[in-house]
Amino acid sequence: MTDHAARQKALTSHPLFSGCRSLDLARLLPHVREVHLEPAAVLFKNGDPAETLYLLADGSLRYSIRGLEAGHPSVLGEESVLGLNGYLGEAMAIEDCRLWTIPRRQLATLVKECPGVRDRATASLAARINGEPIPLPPVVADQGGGSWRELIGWLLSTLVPLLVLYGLRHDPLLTSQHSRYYLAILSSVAVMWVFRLLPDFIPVLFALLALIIFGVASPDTILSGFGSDSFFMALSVLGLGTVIRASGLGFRLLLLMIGARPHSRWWHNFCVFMVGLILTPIIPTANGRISIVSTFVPELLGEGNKERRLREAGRLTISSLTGASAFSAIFLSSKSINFLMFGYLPEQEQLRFQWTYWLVAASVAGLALLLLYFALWSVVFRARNPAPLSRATIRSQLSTLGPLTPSELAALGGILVFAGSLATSAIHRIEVPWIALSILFGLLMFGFLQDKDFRRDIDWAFLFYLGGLTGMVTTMKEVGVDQWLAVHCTWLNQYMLHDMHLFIALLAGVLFLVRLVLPINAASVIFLTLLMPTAVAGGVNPWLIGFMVLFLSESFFLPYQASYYLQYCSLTGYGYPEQDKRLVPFNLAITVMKVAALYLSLPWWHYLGLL
Amino acid sequence: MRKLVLAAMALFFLVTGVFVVWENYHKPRLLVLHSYGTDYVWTQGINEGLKRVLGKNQWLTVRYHYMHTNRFHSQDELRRASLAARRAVEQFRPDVLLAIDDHAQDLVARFYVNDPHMKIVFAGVNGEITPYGYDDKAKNVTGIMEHKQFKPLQEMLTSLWGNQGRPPRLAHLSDCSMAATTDTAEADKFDWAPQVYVGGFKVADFAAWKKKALELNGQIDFLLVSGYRQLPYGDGKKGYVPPDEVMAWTLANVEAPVVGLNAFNSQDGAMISLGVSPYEQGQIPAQMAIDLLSGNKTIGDLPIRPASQYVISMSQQALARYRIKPPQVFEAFARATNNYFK
Repeated sequence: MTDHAARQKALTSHPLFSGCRSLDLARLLPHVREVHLEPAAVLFKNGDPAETLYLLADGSLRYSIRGLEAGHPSVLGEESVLGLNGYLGEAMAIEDCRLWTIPRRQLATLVKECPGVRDRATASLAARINGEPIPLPPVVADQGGGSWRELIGWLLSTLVPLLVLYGLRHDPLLTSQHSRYYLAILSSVAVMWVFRLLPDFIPVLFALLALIIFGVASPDTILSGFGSDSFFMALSVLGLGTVIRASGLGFRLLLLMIGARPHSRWWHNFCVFMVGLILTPIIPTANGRISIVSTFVPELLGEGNKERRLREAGRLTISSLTGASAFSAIFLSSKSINFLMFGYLPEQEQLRFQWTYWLVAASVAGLALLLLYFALWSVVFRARNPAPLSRATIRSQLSTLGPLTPSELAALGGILVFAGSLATSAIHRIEVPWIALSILFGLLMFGFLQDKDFRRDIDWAFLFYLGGLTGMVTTMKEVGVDQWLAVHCTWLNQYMLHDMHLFIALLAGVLFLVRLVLPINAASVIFLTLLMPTAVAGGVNPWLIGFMVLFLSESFFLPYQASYYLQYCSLTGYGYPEQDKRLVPFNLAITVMKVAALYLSLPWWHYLGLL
Repeated sequence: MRKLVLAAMALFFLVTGVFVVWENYHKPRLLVLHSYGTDYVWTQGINEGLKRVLGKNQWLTVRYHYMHTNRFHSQDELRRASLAARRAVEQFRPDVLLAIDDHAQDLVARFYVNDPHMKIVFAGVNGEITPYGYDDKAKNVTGIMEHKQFKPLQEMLTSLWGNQGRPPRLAHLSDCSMAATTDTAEADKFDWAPQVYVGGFKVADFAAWKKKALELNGQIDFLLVSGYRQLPYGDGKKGYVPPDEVMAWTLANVEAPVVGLNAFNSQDGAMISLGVSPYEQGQIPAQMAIDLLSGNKTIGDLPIRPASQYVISMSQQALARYRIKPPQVFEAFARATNNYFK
């Protein structure tokens, strides 16, 4: 093996660099040097400047700390990775040794790109100091990451559009080749979503590209979503949500609520639920809300009897997840997918269903769900044991937080300006998207949202997804595919028009099944795309149908069905169905409650003229 | 220094905000309320007329609302359309409400008669306006009527009929929609002499349409049509018969040439049509709205006007079927206004 090949192997095969990109290792390679040590030669002593990391190629070394032997390691000098000033121990060659050296400065660059190196270096050094085996993970050979799902998915994403083109070549309702191309492209994108071949926004990029290249519509039409009201509203609300989340305002609110009353398990659960609910309209991602409420869960559980702790964890899981997610459809600004539904509405319906009227129309469903939830919760999760968390702990946490920080004040100000603008919309008559954009401008202008946070914390992938899909719907209307869908969904129209009760039951059943295999956003997008144009064509209010899809899609009973459920389990270590047998039935019951809430809303929608 | 900069930034933000709110609050607002949707050729024509005037005036905020009552007009659908449109009015609070066609007057605009903060300009009304409260007591209403142009139609029919030794016989056939009912009443009232007006017939569904049309064979020389877009199938099948299907059947089964009272009838297949100009129904009320919003004129300065312009449209296929050669000036006029359909 040549020197270069050996050096390359030393880097690519060493567990310390497991997970690093080939690009980063290739940049590091020229800085790797070879050194030789005679037996009994000292590599470094305690306190020597930690300037180099050593990887042992041949031979054996003895490592000791304060005179105590601490094994015969194959990697030394992790202090240089960790940024420590000096080495903590001493290393001496037992026999002839050959080592690879990597300078500290290059390691710092590598750590920026591959932070896992630092974690592994910490674990390696700590284990050696404690005299434990070094826990570096084995290097896993790249197995290509392929699966049958992906293979079948890619084959279908190629085949299905061709079949669509062939099958629809004589369809009398598709008057132009453009509409057939549109349906073929849409079918390919749907396959990519269903088989989860790529992150959600990438198939949309493919669709935009294909629509433009095939000349299905003008680029202005296809890309119109990026200039739409819903795009800017989503951008602005995501920006405000970033500031609220990062400021710690939500955590302070939770502390204040929990500390406001004598402790009981019921009160803790109520607080966790309510904070999730209060944050719902102001933090536009369920994951963001879960990250705030779940931080408190381990403290609320306390120590002690494991069985009792698991039972309480079940309660808190339901309270956290339901409070932070179940009411997402009630507020326009609570989830990014809501902006997509908003973008799908015809222009005059967008003007009608701005933030306040959306809430008005959804209020009965939200209220009904709230009441049903508390009724069932109080039956299933009766709690008599005293709560473990003391008021003194809460007080000291609040004291540590200190007075409201400028970021919290800015977040609070943003919320108040937003609420105030909505309340006075009859006077200023500025539409909600532009109010939201003004708040975003203010946050950026005063530096509460830094440009780097603006780039890093705003979900640009989602915004791309939103803009792209909104443009796709505009294109759909232009090429007449919405009419084609409406004609082919006439049977559905009939239920929508003449038997809304049956329609709700059918929609709930189908969405329940679809959600077993599709994530929330993909299921919502497919149903919104299919049903909303049909509703418009059939004279049914499209918001109503869109709301039902959003409300019912946001259901789950197993962690894999919702990313924020998985996130909750990962952050708290609780919430797994096997830990509490009440979780699955309760989550299923929430789905049933949602259906009931929709039925209870029907008279209200009739009164509003939506039905 | 930092505090001063922050204060200056806050001042900038505040002043800009106040200015924007002030400007927005004082910007005149016009709500164009259409009874129908943009899928209707008539609505497209009116919008074209509106744009010709409003496009040049950027100092006002214009919002459009479509009630889609051409497609959805059951009692329940009209109730929903009315609530949605009134919600749009309440939300936008326009200075001028430009209401077009009858449903917009009946379901929305009449509730704002004598509203001190709003003026109403109507268009597309082809019957009486008093049922909407647009009478002498209404101090905030003006607009343009859309009465059918029977006199020029009569002249056109005379020209087409030529000298055949006797005057032509006519009948009017329509569905039971609001506009068609008014058209029938007006046609019944019009003095057609010397032409012979056999009568106006309203039918409930397509089956009745076919029956009446076949009965008229041999009794008439021209069949006048205006409203046939709200004809249920009548055989248990839900929905309305597509207008081109109605016209295709009529052309195939009625011996007399079909003449439309709306310009868009020839797009559906009618041999020749003479209708009120949709462009005028857009332009005139738009100009009235501009005059009111700019403060140049008051309602008292803008009396209700009759329709004065019309357009002629033709179907080349139907003309060939009946072997009728209209005067060249008619054809040139139809072609010039993009109303000559092949």
